[in-house]
Amino acid sequence: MKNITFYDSFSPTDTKDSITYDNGLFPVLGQGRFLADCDASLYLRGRCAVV
Amino acid sequence: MPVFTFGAGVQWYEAYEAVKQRNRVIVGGISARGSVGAAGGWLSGGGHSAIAPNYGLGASNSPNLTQPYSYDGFVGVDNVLEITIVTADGSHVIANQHRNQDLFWAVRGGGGGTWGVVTSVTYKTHPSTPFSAAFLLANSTNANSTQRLLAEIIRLTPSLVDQGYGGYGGGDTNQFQFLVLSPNVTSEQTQTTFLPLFEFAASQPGLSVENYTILYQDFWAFYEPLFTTTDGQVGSPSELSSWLLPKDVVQTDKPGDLAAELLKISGFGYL
Repeated sequence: MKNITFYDSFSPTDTKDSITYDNGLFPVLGQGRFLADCDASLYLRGRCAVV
Repeated sequence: MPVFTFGAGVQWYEAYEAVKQRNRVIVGGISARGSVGAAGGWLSGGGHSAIAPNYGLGASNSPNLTQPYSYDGFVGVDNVLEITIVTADGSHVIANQHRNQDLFWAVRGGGGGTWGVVTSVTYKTHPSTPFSAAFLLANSTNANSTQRLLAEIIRLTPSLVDQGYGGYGGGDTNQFQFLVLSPNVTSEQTQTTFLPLFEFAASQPGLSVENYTILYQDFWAFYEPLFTTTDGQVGSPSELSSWLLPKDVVQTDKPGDLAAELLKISGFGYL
């Protein structure tokens, strides 16, 4: 899914943890969470399109 | 301060809708139903917006993040608080005013994908307010009249910006239009401000003029009817380049000369 996240407050600091993923891979198409809800499909413009 | 983080792929129309649901407003880009991403080229191109005169550019590189926006010096609010980006060496890093500051500075206006692939951007939001707007469309059979109209708009521009107006406009000698809006004025003030301009336009030979003023209850009420479509259109077939004109260029005693130069640019735009 497209990631839109709201925070009531936010303060950028230098203490935030580094970016990690469950499977250790950067989530490009076919590898990660972007396709979690679009199995065998391509996520386009807010919906799964069968390819 | 309430903020939003948008992942790569989020289009501005999706961002605006989410921000509206929180009764906030955000500085962002414009396109017909997508093609301008909220975490991508708009940001790295500098981040122009119709509401930048009040809230700062989307990517303004302010040396002082606490100072209010000032037209005089473009010292303004930095609406971007943090980005995440994949750099050329494959690292996925966080950049903000404390971490990877050089990258944080470079991405906000450094152009295209020069510095890496941006994967998310966190933006400030601002309290939602009504926006009072003015629209003018002039079809012209007289190039001199078009130039005089544009010169008058240029003459008024510093005052309009000081009142918080920003917007979109442009055209050529055959047609010119603009739409500006401000959160700082009432609809009555907008009518008073623009009536002389509307009358001036109507008095010029060869100009056929349409104009109106309108009060939008919030930014979404302005954006949704004008820039969201249901016919499948995405973006428009055009390429844009832009230049920020300093106030001392616009605040000229020869606005007609500046108007003549702008009209030499094919399909020029005026923000």
